[in-house]
Amino acid sequence: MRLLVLEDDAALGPWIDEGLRDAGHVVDLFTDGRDAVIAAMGQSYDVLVLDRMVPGLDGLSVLKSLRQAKVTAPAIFLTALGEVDDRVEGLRAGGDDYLVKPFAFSELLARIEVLVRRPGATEEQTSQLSAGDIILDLHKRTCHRQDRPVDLNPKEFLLLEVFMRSEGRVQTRAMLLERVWSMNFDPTTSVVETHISRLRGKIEKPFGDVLIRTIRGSGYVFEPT
Amino acid sequence: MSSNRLSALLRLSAVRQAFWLLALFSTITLIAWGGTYWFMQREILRAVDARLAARMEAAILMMDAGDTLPRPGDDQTAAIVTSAELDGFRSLDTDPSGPDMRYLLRTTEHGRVLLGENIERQEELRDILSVGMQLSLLATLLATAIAALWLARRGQARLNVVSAGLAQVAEGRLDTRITLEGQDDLSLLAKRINATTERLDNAMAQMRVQSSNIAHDLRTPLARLRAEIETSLIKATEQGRAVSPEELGAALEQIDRITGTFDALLRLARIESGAGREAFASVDLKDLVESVAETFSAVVEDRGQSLSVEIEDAREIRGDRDMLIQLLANLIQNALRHGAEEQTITLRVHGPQLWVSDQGPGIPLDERKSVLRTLYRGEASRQGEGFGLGLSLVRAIAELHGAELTLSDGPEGQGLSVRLRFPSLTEL
Repeated sequence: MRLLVLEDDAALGPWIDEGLRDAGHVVDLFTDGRDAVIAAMGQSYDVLVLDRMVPGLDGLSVLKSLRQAKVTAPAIFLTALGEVDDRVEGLRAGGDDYLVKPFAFSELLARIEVLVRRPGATEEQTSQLSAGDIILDLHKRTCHRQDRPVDLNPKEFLLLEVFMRSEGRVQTRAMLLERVWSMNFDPTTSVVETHISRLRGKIEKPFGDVLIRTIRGSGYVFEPT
Repeated sequence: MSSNRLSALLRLSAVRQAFWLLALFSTITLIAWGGTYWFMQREILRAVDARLAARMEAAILMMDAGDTLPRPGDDQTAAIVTSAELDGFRSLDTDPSGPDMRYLLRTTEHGRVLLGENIERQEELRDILSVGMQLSLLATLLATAIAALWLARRGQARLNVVSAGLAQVAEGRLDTRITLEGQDDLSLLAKRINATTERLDNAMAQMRVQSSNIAHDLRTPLARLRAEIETSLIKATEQGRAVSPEELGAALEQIDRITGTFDALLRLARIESGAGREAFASVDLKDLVESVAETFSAVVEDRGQSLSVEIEDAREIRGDRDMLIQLLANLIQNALRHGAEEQTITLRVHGPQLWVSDQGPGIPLDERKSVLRTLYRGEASRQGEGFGLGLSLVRAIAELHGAELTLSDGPEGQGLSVRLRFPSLTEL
């Protein structure tokens, strides 16, 4: 993918740049808002990663002018402003997602990937999801592994569904809280950990292998064998 | 009174007001007095002139009939005179001590007739009345001035109490309270100022406690982070051993804890500023509690405890669902931390009320108030575990929702029960 990154911080910019390149993307890093606008007008990007506060033209204004120029690439804001109002303002300006600093790189990567999938992501109207030897029936709400039924409660089912839809990609705690429990805050209790450990108890333990790998300090990856 | 003190007195707004009123009052009285004097004078002359004219007519009639000029009565004169003056009425006050006279001169066929009448008595009456009025004016002015000054000084003294109180508050002594007797607007003002100062005082105290809580909440992960990095660094430099992913992951976890504290702080600040109320929607307490139970029962069970839900006559309230979930999450977290082993945490809904009860040691009756005060007024200096940001958030969210927060015994007389009473939809 070709990504535009607007970030003026001398440490953070190159860090994002390098990380995204390592993930196999082509990255154009800008430190000035005006340069970013000019580049995005002339070149089509898959995702725009914009810092809210940069010299020249701030991220919000960059996106506003790009949206007026009918540039439709999905955009994700990076910001040190964590207030809900700022989030709303960012989304209103045409942003698709919002990431508050400090963030885990895996979080940024995961969110970028979600954004790219979004346009065609009329989450396939299939009634069945399968990964490895797990089959999830979305209509009957049943789960089978190696043709043996696995009894999941609604949250565990949703959790597994989220994992299966993003196979091989890191899911951070914040993303899971958002997608499974619709929580935009961290309830401090170990909600995610507990449910993942229960899910593991049902889909891993009886089969003696590992499907959900914990990445310490960032999140979880679903990797069926 | 020295001129200094006088000018100081004149600067007092109450005294100024009193003087303005006094001036206004004097002007009105003077105008009334002058008017009355003039009016009386006119009436006296009119009556005398009418009598003189009548006598003149009678005299002319009698002289026409051949009689002589009628003899004047007491206090009257009548004469045929030769005079260069014109016909008409005139007053004569020849001798200040002698009688004041009013004359009518008319030229007739029988010569020039001059009729007079002594008006001294009327004028005396008028003067007595006038003096009386002057005296009463003087007395009134004096009395009014004294009363005004007294009232002004009294008002000013009360104002000074308020002013002095505010000066103390401005100096940062937020425990100052203004005591003012009476039931007037000033005492109402004093009450309002006291209420404002108290709120300010509480807010400041709360901020102090919160700052120390925040420092505490941040120091622990920072200390661990430092320890972890230092250990890794020592191992790397002295033993030539590579830093392991576990060590880095552990460091990241501490950083996430610090970030989490900042997030909670920002959220608390936001909620306390009253933001978010505009996004209130109706929330069904039954739905809310059931979904919270679904999310957290696994967490509770993992600790060897259980979560039970009792719902009776649940109401809808106005609120922010996300915040309410957070409030319940924090209360459950608190119950987990302070409750007994293998206890049951109960979420109970009855009408617009919600309880979160545990079966732990509870809080003794006399300490409950101070716990609430810790939350509301920040009086405690104690760095109580669990009285940190989590419960501050609970309090802030409850306040934002206009919900009353009380602590009581658990359902069977043991443990702690936190009750939230939301305003019902009709009360809003």
